[in-house]
Amino acid sequence: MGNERLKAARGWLAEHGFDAMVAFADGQNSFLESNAVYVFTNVRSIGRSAVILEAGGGSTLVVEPAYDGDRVRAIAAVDRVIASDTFAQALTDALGAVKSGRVATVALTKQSKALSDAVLACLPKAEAFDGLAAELARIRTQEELNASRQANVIAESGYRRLLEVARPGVREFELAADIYDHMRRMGAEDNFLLMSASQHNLAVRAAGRRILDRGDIILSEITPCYQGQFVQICRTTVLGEAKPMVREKYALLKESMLRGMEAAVPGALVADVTRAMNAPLEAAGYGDYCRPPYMRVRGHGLGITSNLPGDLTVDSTNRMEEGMVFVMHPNQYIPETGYLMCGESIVISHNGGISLSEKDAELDVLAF
Amino acid sequence: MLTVHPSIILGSYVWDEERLPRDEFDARNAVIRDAIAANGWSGMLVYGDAKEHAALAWFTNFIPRMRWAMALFPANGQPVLLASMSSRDIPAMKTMTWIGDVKSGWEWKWFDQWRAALSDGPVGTIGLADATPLLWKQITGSLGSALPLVAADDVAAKARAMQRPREISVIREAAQITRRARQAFQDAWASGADIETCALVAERTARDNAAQDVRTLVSRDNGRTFQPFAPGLSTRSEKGLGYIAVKYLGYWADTYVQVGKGTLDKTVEDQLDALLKAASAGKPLGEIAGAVRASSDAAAHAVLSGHFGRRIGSSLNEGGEIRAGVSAPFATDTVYSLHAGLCDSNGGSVASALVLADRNGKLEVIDRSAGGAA
Repeated sequence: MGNERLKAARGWLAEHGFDAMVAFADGQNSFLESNAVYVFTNVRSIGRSAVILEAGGGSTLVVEPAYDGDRVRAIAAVDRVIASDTFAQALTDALGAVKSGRVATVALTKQSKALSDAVLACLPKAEAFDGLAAELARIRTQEELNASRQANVIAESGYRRLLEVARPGVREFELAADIYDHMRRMGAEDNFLLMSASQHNLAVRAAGRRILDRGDIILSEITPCYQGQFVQICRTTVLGEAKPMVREKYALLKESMLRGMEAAVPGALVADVTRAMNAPLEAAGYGDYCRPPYMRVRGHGLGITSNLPGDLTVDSTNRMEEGMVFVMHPNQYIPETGYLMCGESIVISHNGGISLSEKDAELDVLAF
Repeated sequence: MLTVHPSIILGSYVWDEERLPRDEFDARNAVIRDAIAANGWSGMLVYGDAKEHAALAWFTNFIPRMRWAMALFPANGQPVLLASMSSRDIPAMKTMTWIGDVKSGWEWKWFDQWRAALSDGPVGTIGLADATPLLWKQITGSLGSALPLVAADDVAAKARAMQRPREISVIREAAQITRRARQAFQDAWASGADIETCALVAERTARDNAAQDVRTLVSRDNGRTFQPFAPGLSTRSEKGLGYIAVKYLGYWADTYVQVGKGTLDKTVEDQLDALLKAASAGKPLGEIAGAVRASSDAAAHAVLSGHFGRRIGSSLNEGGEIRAGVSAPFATDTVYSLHAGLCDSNGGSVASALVLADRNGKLEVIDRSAGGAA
């Protein structure tokens, strides 16, 4: 895929009159952001990395550490790979051919100031286009969509594993270790896994040492990455007996989800989709809770190719496009029940959002 | 050792006040107070992110699981910790630090509030070179010309040059978990597992033992190169080689793990023996490196990047690299991870040990890769 995206980038350079592009990644993969180097080269680097694309010529990938060179050369969709333990020096040396030209930088502002200063000192005609990789990769290819679907199979299997092994007496970190390991064995190369429990959750958080007990509500945000595609599912599991109030409020989240799916048609404003999701909660009297700290966002894009359409908020000016993949999650703190979670990864089709899950979120109850 | 950084640090994530009590941090923060007073600074700012947070964790116990955090110390009064997380997440963040006032870094008013209480004068900074230019712009925009930034990384480096007893105690615990993980790796290999499965079993063992973070690398080519976990591969070559790093309560221990037999194993163990024999308090690090006799048949292993070890603790790389030409001395009261490794066209071999020299110069081997589980 990197070759096609490099081709697209080359087209962009020609169209906008640039001599070269330099795209960066800091080795800190985020499920919320685009990894520009991965988009253009297929390489998820161990350390920092940068790809230099000349408008009329070759492509060079610089990575750290030096020991990773053989692996990177085997997978990188570029002409030349430089692997070094002195990254900044190797990069500034490699910039030699493009130093005097008009250069578009991608994600340089997300690198350390030390590296940014070193690069900008070499590139007097640099202009920042931080969103370029996400923009070019905003529509998933069939190959990427297949990877997203497989990632969702892994996520759902991870959740089924949670239903098998969660019980009173288990520590949160032990449960998290179990389902994380389960998903690794299925091929998850990374996993933004939040999983925590309480009798009254304020939010989901990373697993701690708390011991699960009857009456706990387990929240899980399961986010495996498969072949560069993160997906996310959000689930709520009651350990013991579910109170009628919890069932009632969970139905509210499901209604919110349904409204969002219907509204997420190609061309729809993300802000309007968010408003559609908020509507059932506002109608039920929770309008004041449709903001932090009672929730964060109603969904968000998924890395590491493109994080568009971005966060699902009422302030967003982005629009839905067919082929975008993101997570929609009306996760919400409700004063009577605590925080509840319900969410699926969605692909936008011509007539609305389609969940990638075989079984969408329900309030699950484990009887103990 | 640089390894793949996960999208979120996943493991047992707590501030254990039994092992690292508040008075431990009082002692550490005296360094900040003294530096502010000695330099006439108006305050200090300690930055860390999910990738590099050794100094931030040392002063605050706070480890950003993702994005960044900053501890803001005024010349007078209590510090505030800004975490780059939503206000929804702040209650969970508070459980990781002794600092009572934890705020969302997404609401810049908290930084401005801290700044407003400072008198004019320089602000010392630690770790800020790792922050993005955008964050720098926000910080300098708020501080203005009356409060210029002054790099004070040497303040933290000096304070952390020797490890405190409680730190060494936690590193021993991390080494214990690492040993168990290594044994699990070896047991899995002995039962016929492929190298990826061995690494997964080791990771799981460490996580079940309350590891805060676990990193692994494996070799799929008889030890010649090291690579991160890759789904779908099930390689089992004649000789297997892995790397395991475990973080426990904020402190790392690491080990290489050898399975199967390779032609270079004996020479590499001999090189490690030579390092252990040469390592003694006060001796120049370059001299220790010089004790290793080069092999005429094989090259130094690429994974070692031309050195024979370094200090380890809050970070996998605390500096103090043992390599030719380094005149700095082998320090007491600090844990070193020693490495020896060779590679030829048939494969490679790497061995390691965690060592500590006490104040009397006695060298203790905390762990050795050729050793078994505790």
